[in-house]
Amino acid sequence: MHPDRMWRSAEPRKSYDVIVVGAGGHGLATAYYLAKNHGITDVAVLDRGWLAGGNMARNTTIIRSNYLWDESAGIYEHALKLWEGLEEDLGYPLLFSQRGVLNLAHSLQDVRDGVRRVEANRVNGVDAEWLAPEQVKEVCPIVDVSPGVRYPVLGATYQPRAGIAKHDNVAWALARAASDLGVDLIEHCQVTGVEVTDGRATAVTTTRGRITANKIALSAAGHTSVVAKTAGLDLPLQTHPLQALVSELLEPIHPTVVMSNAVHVYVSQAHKGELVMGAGIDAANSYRRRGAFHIIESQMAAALELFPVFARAHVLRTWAGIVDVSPDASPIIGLTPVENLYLNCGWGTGGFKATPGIGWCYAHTIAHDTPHPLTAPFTLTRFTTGALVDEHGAAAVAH
Amino acid sequence: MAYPEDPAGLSDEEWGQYLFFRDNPEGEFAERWSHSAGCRRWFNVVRDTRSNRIRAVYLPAQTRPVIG
Repeated sequence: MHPDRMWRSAEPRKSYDVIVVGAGGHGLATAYYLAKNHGITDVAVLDRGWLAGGNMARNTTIIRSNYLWDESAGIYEHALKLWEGLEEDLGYPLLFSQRGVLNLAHSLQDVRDGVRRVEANRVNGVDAEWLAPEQVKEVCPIVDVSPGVRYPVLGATYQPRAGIAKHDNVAWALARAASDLGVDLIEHCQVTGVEVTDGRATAVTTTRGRITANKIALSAAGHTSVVAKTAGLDLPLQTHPLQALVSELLEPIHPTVVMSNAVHVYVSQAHKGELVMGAGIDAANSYRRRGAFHIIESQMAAALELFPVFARAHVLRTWAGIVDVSPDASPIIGLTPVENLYLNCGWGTGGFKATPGIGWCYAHTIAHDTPHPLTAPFTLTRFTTGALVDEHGAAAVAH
Repeated sequence: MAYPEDPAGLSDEEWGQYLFFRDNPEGEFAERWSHSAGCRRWFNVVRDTRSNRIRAVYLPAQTRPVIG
């Protein structure tokens, strides 16, 4: 017997109040909060593939809010607070596990940056601690903190409220909740163009026909610049593959999330037992969901340096997602020069953790045609004014 | 991406365009490569970003060929 469907599979209608382009985590969360917070239910979420089959299915599920800059801490901490109530809100298990995140320091500069970030986080109400190597060992006994290695662990920042969640469950729960509130989720419906008349976005052309809308909200990750270009909108984005991998299933051995910039890898252990690892993007632009092997090789080398116990683990699967990287490694959210066309992109390597937070704020932006205060610093116009939110290196992760 | 002839003469918007905005096509993409593990020469490539297939290779002094 087939299990009950969690959401209605809808046929596209001729017209909607709001069209969301991209049924990933962000698109689904946006539709959910449009319906729940703003009573806007005449909404369609369109996706070229299947629901949540892009980066929502391909990320390493790390959730944290320990960003350096006030603007980033604001949106990510808003998201983390929503994560903390999301299972109850959606009535569905998300396997949200606040197991903490360690960001390791391997040099004097790392230590200085880490201590500074801890202080900045605390000022912003984000939980953060600085740990000495022996405290790192207490939190995560399998990390090699011995002084004799090439890049010894000199300490770490620790955010206890950080953690992981089961990405598929998050997507399904959001889809079910949005669908129950009347949102149409339409898979295999690729947006091939945005129609603009007199400076206003009025409709999308899709592989399943033309659909008119009062408002069109882009949320298409690595493909956002392709869709935006059809509306005559150039974006400061570069599209890259970002790889991740898992080991075979292992006994519980890794109790937290460990990230390291200098020895570049981030590692957690999923509930099922596989070690989940990621690192940086492939340097070459590409829309192909496949990365180069040397990226995998270097992140495995980094993982072995930090966790000698992994030496006999096997890689089970590797894959890539297509991410949109902005010049300051911060997202681009808000209004565009085209009326009724809204933008949520540029999340690059770190969009998953923001899912409920951006859904909340993007829905507000669309409903009120004005940026939500938490996303107001992330406008497209900052690349003219120069008011960047430069999280390159500051964000506790190398991009 | 050529450096502007008169940087001080650009508006904020034009300077932002020069600094931050680059082509990001899903398809043919012109880029400059260096054969760093071999002859160390620089050369131009047109690559299809959907497949990573190389569509054309040409010298830096040559203009981008039209691909049929």
